[in-house]
Amino acid sequence: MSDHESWTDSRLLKVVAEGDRRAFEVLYARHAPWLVLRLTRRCADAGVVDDAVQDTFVAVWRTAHKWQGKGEVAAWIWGIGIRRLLDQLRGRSPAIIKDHEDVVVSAEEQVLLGIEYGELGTALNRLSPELRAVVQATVLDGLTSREAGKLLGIPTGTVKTRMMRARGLLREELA
Amino acid sequence: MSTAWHIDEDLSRDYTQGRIDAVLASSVEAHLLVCAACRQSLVPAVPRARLDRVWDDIVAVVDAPAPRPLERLLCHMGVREHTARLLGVTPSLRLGWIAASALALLFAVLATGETTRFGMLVFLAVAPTVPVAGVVMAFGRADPAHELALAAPYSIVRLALIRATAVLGVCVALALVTGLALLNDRGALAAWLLPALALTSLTLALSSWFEPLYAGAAISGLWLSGVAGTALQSGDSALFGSAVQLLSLAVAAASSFLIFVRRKEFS
Repeated sequence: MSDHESWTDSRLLKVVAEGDRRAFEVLYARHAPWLVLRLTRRCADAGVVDDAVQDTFVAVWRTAHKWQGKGEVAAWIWGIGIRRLLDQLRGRSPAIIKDHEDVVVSAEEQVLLGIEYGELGTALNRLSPELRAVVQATVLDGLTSREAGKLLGIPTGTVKTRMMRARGLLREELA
Repeated sequence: MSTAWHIDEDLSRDYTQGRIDAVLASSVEAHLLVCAACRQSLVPAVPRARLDRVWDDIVAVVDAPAPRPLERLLCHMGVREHTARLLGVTPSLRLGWIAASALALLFAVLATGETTRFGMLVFLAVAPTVPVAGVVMAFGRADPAHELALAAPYSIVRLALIRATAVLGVCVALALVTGLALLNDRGALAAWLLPALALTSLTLALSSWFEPLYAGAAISGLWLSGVAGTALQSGDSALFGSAVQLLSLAVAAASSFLIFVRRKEFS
């Protein structure tokens, strides 16, 4: 059964839902490394990141049947991963997350693909670190204002006002 | 979805070492979500040992038996996980045992309707033995995990007390519910509580000398014959008057003291 390696992510996830341990292992080998790296950029504590990655793949194993086959498996895993990291940071037992199935590559992310030297990139770089962090958490990490506030340790209202200011500044820059 | 650019070696190194600015990092991350090849190129950046360790933990969680409903309920109520597990596997906290206890109590309560004199006595005599039976089943040889409990670096007294408290709580709740629903005499509802406490604590105390099953059987036998003897002689439920209540309290207190003194003798 070594042909699992050549399967696509969505095919692997479908058989993981049926309890295929080998497919789960391949999925882990493919997705754990980038997830570790990406979560490390949000949380410097390796122990917390490891716990979040562990929770994420336990959730993948248990909720694989809920994946509807739309979008990238990686984006689905990221949606779970960033929320498990939040759960870890909050120090509470993981809440049941319903909405991570909807996390797909957003229009904003598609725009960001390959714009790093473009106008938007320059404009983003001109934002203050506080505003950029909010843009990153809400637009790129796909978090709600409330979740972003928890990740960044600021109130939800502040996330919203910073996002509005960031939007206004970006509009000016790009006009 | 294919894109024009991919993450080259320099960018990959800078990203994994956290040396690029937020915008470039965001581009990398957005790209990673859609490009399997670039995800693959990052694999060497995370130490194999770390990934293996996390994988082992995942397997351990995934393979762990699912907690029983009771265990989940207890965890929800703020009981610590290992205590919830100890309680969850108690034989006399299984649904079958609880149902059997409820049935025994139900018959005892129904008996009170049959005759005016002895009926109530049946309930008052049987009700205290139900928690005793539950407690002797909760530890000692009746527990399927008895050998494990002996070998585990965990106090047997502690285990016995935690389980006895839970069993007592369940039995009292059961008896109160059946009593409230079916008994006319509200006084009888409470009259058996102190004798029940006395019998269970005495059983626990004697378990430091004897096998709990024998201790429980002996105590229950003595109790039932005592009640029957008194009832035949005096013919009423004088046994549940204030003198017996006080005596029960004294027995419970003395047993607790014995349990405390002999806490090292349990095995």
